[in-house]
Amino acid sequence: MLDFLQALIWGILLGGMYALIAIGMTLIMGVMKIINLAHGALVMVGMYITYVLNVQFGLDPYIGLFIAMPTLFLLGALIQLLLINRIIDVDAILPENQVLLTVGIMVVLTETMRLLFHSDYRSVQTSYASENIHIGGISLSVPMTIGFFVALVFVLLLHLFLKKTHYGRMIRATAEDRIAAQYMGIPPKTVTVVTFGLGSALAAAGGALLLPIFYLWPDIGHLFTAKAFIITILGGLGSIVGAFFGGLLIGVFESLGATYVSMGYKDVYGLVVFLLVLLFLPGGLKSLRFPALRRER
Amino acid sequence: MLHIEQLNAGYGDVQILWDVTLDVRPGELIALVGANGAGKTTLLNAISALVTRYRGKILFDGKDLTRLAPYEVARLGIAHVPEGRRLFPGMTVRENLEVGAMSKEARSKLKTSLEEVYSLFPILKERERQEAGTLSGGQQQMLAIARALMSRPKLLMIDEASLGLAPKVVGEIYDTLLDIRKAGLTMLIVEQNVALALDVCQRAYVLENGRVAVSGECKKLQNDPKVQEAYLGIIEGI
Ligand SMILES: Nc1ncnc2c1ncn2[C@@H]1O[C@H](COP(=O)(O)OP(=O)(O)OP(=O)(O)O)[C@@H](O)[C@H]1O
Ligand SMILES: [Mg+2]
Repeated sequence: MLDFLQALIWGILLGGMYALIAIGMTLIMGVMKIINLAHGALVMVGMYITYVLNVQFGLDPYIGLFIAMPTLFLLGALIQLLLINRIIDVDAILPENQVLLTVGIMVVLTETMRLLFHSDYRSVQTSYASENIHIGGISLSVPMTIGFFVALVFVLLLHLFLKKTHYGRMIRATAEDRIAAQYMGIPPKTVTVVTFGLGSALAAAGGALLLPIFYLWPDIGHLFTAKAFIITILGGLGSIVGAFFGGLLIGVFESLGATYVSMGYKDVYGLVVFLLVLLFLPGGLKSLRFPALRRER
Repeated sequence: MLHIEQLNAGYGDVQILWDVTLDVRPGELIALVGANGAGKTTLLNAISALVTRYRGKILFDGKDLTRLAPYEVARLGIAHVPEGRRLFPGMTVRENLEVGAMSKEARSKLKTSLEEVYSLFPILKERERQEAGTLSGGQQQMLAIARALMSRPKLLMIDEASLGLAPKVVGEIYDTLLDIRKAGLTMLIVEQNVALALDVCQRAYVLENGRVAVSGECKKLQNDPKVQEAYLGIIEGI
């Protein structure tokens, strides 16, 4: 029983950080209606920035995060402004090709990092990396606990931003109906640039939070793209609340699978959940909200 | 206020509008009528910069709209209630109204505007926190008009104000529109119900196959035998 609880809690902690990454992808998905296959690569770049700040300047990853985030915001905004927005205008190019473009961006980012850092596995040394907090019979990893709560704060901040601010409303309106948003006087290109920047910053945050726990190498991005993709679909394409719980679910399944089945298949359990959801709940977690509750809030 | 001259427009290579000339003067209520597929929606979208304009002039308060992006046209003070309403269904009534007030100026008057539209459409205040997608058709139309008013426009364009609504609701909406007009707002309205449109407007334009077939004062058009036969279902001699 204690084993189970332990695995469950570890899964939730890990899932919170996955959720942060996936919410970045979901945000971009919601506004642009495309899956950003460079998302994991952006996580990876965020991790390398945090890594370099740590080994070169001794900055703690949780502080490096606040440099990695704005840097990735800028990188994401520039990718949207200079690359993706340019092909949106061309009628002859199908929207699907925006997705192909993100694959190209993924390759460029991954290979650039390989050029700079080679394919070596790297990790940061922190005093707390292997520390645990003991509560009852359960031990909580310190970096996972911090990572979870920081991720939670970011999710809440994003929620407030989207709900309460002028820019947040512009993003939501564009996600709901891009044409109608233009009738209202919302500039769609500006919105996509800001959204891609925000999504990238969240990817960087997730990466920085996972750095004390994960090994880092250029191809780790693929892993995050796959996870974020699964979580985004699990959440119900474009639903941020859905993606948050989707992230927790994937984290829990990975952790339970690693405890009870085998550690080696850790990344497969998520795919199993994914298939089950596609089979039995094709609308994603979002569709679980009762229609009756949808009416009045 | 709005001056359109020899406008040719369409979708990519498919030309729909041919040499359309139309004027809207301050304070007027102009009706745009015509059969299905005549090009009414296309004309409003040409003003809003959402279709390709090939040739011709569109001037709004002397400014040329043909080179602007849709959001820039909106910010000049042209509010467009689109065909099918296009509300933001997952956002609440209140949030839809807030998105309607996009420009700096509109945002600074958000409170006043909200009070104004709530007094025009009290039901919206009652439903403030409800998601727009769950409103009834009539309520959605009211919200679409209210959302357009939130931008404090100089010109209000409505595409199909009465489509699919019960006569009573249509009456309510038109009463409100007439009140708004009395307060001085200029309007360009596309209306399926030609008899109704000719009853309330000052001048009307009749589109046929993308061209202006007839135009003139609504009172005169009401008595024009051609219009009567084609749009009012009145056939001479019966
Ligand atoms: N996206 C599009 N691409 C190509 N042609 C279009 C497009 N939208 C409309 N059309 C064509 O343009 C013509 C005019 O359509 P429009 O929607 O402007 O008519 P309307 O007068 O508003 O009709 P209704 O009363 O049915 O709304 C029609 O022949 C229609 O088939
Ligand atoms: Mg139409």
